[in-house]
Amino acid sequence: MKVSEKWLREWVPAELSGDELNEALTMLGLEVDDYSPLASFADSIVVAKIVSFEPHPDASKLNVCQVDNGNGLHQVVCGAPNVSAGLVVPMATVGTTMPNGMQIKSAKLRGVESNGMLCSASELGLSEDHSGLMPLDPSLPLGQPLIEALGMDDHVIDVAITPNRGDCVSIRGLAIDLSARLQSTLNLPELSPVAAGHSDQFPIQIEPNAPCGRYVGRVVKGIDAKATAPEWMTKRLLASGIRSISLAVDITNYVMLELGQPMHAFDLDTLANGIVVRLASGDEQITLLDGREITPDANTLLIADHEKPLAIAGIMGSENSGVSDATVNVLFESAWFHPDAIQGRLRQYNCHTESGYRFERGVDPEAQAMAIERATALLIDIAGGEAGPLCIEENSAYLPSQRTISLSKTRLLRLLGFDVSDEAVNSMLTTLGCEVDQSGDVFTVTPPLRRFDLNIEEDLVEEVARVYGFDRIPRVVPKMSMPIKPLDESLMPIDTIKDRLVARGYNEAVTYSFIRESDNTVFNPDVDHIALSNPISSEMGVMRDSLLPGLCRAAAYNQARQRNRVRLFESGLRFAGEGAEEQHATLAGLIVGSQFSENWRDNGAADFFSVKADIEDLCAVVRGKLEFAAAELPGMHPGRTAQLLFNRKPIGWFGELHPETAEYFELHGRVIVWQMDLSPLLHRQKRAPSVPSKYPSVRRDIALLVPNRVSVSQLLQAVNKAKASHLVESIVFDNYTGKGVEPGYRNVAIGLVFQSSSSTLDDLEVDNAVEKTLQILNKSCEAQLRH
Amino acid sequence: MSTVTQRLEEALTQISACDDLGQLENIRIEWLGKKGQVADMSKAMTTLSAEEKPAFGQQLNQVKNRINQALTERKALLEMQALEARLATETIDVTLPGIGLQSGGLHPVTLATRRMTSLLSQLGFAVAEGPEIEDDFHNFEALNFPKNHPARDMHDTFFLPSGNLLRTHTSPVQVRHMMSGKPPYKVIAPGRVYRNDYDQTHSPMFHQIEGLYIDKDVSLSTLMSHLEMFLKQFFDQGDVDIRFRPSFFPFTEPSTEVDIRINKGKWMEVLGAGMVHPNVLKASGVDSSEYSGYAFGLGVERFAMLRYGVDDLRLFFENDARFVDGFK
Repeated sequence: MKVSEKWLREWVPAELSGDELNEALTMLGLEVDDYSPLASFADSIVVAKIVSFEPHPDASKLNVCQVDNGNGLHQVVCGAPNVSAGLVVPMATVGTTMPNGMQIKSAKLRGVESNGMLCSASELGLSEDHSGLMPLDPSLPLGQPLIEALGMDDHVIDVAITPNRGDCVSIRGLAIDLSARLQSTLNLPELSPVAAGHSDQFPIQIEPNAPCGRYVGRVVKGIDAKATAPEWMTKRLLASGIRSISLAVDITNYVMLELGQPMHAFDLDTLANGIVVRLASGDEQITLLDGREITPDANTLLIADHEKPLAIAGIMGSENSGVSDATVNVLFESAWFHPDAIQGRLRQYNCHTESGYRFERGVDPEAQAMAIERATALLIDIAGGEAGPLCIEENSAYLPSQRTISLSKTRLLRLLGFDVSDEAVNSMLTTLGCEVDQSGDVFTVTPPLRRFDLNIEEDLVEEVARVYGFDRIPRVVPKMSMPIKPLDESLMPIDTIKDRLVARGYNEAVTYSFIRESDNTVFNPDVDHIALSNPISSEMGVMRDSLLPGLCRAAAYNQARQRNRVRLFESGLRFAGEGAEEQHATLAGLIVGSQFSENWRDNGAADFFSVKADIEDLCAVVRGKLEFAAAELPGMHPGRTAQLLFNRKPIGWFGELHPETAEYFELHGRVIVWQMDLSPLLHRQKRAPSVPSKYPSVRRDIALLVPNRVSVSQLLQAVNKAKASHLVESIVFDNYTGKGVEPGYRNVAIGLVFQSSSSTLDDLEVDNAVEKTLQILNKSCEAQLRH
Repeated sequence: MSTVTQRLEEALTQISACDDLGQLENIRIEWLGKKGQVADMSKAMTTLSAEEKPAFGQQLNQVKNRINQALTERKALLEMQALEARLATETIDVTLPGIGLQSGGLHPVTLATRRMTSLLSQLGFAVAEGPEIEDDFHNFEALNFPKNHPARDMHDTFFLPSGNLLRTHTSPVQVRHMMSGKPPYKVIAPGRVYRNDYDQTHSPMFHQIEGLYIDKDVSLSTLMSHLEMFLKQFFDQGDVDIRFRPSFFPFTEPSTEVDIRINKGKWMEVLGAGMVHPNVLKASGVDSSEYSGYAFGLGVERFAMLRYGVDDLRLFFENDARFVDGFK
């Protein structure tokens, strides 16, 4: 909320600087977001008088004026239609920067010298009136800075009000808090009742199911329809960002800013028979002040007369019942609507009004009569007329009642961690408007009804801390018992996995969890999308079923920036199953480009097998059994993709992108990707170190001719199946097709390493083991020994 | 006798003139081989008298030894020269760049998270996690956000057709953690959160860290001292002032927002905190007459930006390798 600093200081006459005032508000939890001069124009704009003028010789719409700005006569060329001799107007002197950034310089306009600019109200940001020069009071001293002349030497304080402090969306609310913090007096404006000059009442009726606790109306008859709000009032409205509209409306806005009570002014002569506060029927229409025609739903609280709805209660009035410049008889409304009746409605009807904002947070249930008296006094003072008696209707079912809260001293001490004296607690709560009764260690506190946020003991603890000052709270470090926590070696920290990948040249990526729908189907055409009901855009429309589309987009982003070698990994959740909403912790990677950064020797591309080594290395740390099985998967190269089995369970897959997939993501080069479930990687098997043998190992290399359909993993399985004694390692050291190998076959060479832990092996033993292995290889894999 | 001496000189001359290891071996064979010159010379022994024989034998032995010694020395010299020559051809430009995998880098969000986790673990905080698709109960209701309350407007929520939502903060992890075990609690929960807000300074997805400490003797003063220690260590690159301002969060009472100021610069809001609201403790099954405690929540990107001097939030999600390179 924006308020005039001067206005606030009228209520709280403490001696302190602007910065200190802002600090005091901020430290009360009323954070000052901005503090800026009320006038957006410079003080080099001064009061000046047009002494004489003559038409510009070369431009029909321009006049050449001789202007007295208190510092001699100056020639100014001006295009305004209302130029006249003797007119006193604002003049921007040479060197001024205008609110729109324009610099005023000496210049020639169509050949005639001009030294300065005469200003309209809109050029100064004072109103939207740009029809001509802004006329000023002729009695003002020439040369006086306009800011001073208009009494605009004020600042606007912009306070961010938290949703719990509806009571602080007013000068009064801010002032009460400030006076407690500063231990200052609180000056109230004249709020005494206005005596009735006539006895006209306007009937008011609140239907029993209407959540309106109180409705106060008052008829003011015979006002001067031409009267307008005085400058002091419009300036204060301006400080709060509210434009002057008409006197009655300006007064209701003024009182709302001052006391926090939103009001409404009806043209009495447009109303039929009386006010009815009721729920909408659900099929009646209302044309709002902003011109929109809406049909409020059946639970919306309305203000109506006996014929038509007049307003959505507390939010916005209708077009046909408001005051106009012909209004002479006014009905003021000052009502208390239950916050529940307003909450959610602002968004529903897209009516974010000042009034709705306050009712939603809770208006002081005791302020209605006070506000209407204040408004009546202002109206009669400015525009004459006579007030009738107050017409008050209540629906007590919807009026909040007094509540008492117990605050125990032990609780206060425990939650704050330091001691505050009884006197201080008493005085702080009292200045905030609470009634306080102390009995032994317990304070019984009755907060004012306007403090909707004070309901439980902790709320009072906060009040004490807030007024005492968070900045004065001593820092006490409590004694902590800190036993050493268990350290489970079977847990694999995600940090270790990430560090491992980083060491293998991967950069960590963070991509959005929501992606475009077509990206989500690339790797899973049957995906059961979880679509957002209210996405930012269709590009962020569905929850990702895979981390790979995000990584593909990130890689393409880098390739588009001349970075052809990309190595990325990401860890995060993937989501699937509309309704079931599964969330799986996932790890994924993407590699494209050369295996090493470009260099002078080895620029080979990373391929399936270099990436496979990354995966093998990662899984080796977890000490599980990792297997690869050829697979055909959507979006992937049909001959270069493998499913990953970890401890015999599928945990993911990896391979090369299908060229069409790469093209879809605008990637170039062979792109290798992998993705696996993270959770199996977070538990590792026990360490089982073996004692190294003291005896030498023996290696025998065998070259095998095998049909292409037999995989190396089948060969190695056969080797294991042979259970050759003392075999400790099988090394695949060659894989060859081409010249010398008949079509449909390939040559695979395996080094078999034998070692005993108890003796040196003799040749015969090893020969037998190799022979046994070869037999099994031949039988189960049709592998023949090549000589 | 002089012939023997002459022959020795002849051999030594040949040896010292030899520049080739193969040639040197030939010289060895020629002089010392079974059929070599020295063997040949020893044939003269048969023509000598018994008195002359020992002296001649001795002389021949000396000759043999001298030749052997010369051969060994020459061989060592030639070998050394050959090695030097080979090494001379093997010279490389040691200033050429190395070849191999260079390490990648962690995302700054991870770096900042690790730094925070590491600092807070010294205060005894353990790490907890929770789901990103949340229900209304854990994200709002249990955290004391009434339905339709303006406090919910502070969270621009992404909804799913099921009625569930993407968590708007990491605070639901508090509730889940408390409901899953007995107090005391001392955990932090890092993770992704989502708000329907996208412009230069807002990302629809960002990261938070939630902290929760519930025990029998935890006060507002404890909160302030812990957070002060944490913030001073996290931002250890200068003189750090810390300011606690009263504020409002539905799930804490009292509530505070915390500002920091580095080297007397501008105040910057960095986190929200407060004493856990009794309604939250109640919804989570904790007896608020016995236990109290604090919670805090902070934005990881904001901390990373301040700590590492990054001023554009969007960089965190572009995954430009050049950006991550800067954090290696």
